[in-house]
Amino acid sequence: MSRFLVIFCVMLLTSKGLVAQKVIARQGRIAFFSHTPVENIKAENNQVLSIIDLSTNRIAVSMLMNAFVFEKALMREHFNESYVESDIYPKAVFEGDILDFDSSFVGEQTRIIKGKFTLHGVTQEMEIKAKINYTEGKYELEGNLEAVVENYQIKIPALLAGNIAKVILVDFRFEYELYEE
Amino acid sequence: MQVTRDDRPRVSIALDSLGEYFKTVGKAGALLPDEIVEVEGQIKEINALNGRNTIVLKGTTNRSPYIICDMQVGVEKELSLLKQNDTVTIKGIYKGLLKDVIILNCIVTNPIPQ
Repeated sequence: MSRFLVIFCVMLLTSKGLVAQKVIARQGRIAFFSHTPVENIKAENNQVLSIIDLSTNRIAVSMLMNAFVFEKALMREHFNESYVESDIYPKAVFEGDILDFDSSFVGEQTRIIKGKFTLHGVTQEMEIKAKINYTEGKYELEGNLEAVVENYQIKIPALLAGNIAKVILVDFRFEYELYEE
Repeated sequence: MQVTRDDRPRVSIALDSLGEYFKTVGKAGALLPDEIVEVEGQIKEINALNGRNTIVLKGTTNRSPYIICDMQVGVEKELSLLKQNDTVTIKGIYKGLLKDVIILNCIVTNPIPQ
């Protein structure tokens, strides 16, 4: 009986240890797309950081605004200097919870991530639908969302108002590996 | 902006001080975003995640912060000659620090590609 108890305790500790793990994506990708009749603007950032705590289903995402790569240097300059003011607000950050996420489920699950996104010094509540795939010990998370420019107090000069969409389409994709702090 | 071999880096960081540099000096703001930096490090991994050629460097210890170097287009041949644990010097544009240091438009300056 006591042997049984020891084995049970070891199993319990081991499983708890696994659940308590964190995973990290150091090279996550976030891309955005602005479509207007005047021009299309797209940019991507391939060094977005994200950490998921598998014991609490908390997720955090952080990115450097000046690491977005544009097709044209002038677009990048306007984005950093005039719109997101990356010298004053160098990072955008999301923190939230993956609702009803079963981190032990092998395969794909679609979940809502609810949290707060801070961009340009403005924090907005956000709910994002994301696909999470867990295979061969690795998690992948991907999805998209729409961001309303004026919600983040990003001022577009009247002269350029026709060049920037009021709603920006955002895609994201992360591949996670075990995080050893 | 493209980085060339002739560009003079604002800061050069050697392998033995790589791990500590960005924990102290870099965070204090001595190195500003968009400045050219040259770093010597050991290759932790080479990957093509998101279709981007990337070299991840480490210092003398295998600990964060690592240096994530997003390579400039056209360096595929140079990359094919490199492997894990090689010591290389890379020059690029410093973007900032999250958990790791992010450098874009990177080129390998040592060993000199043949």
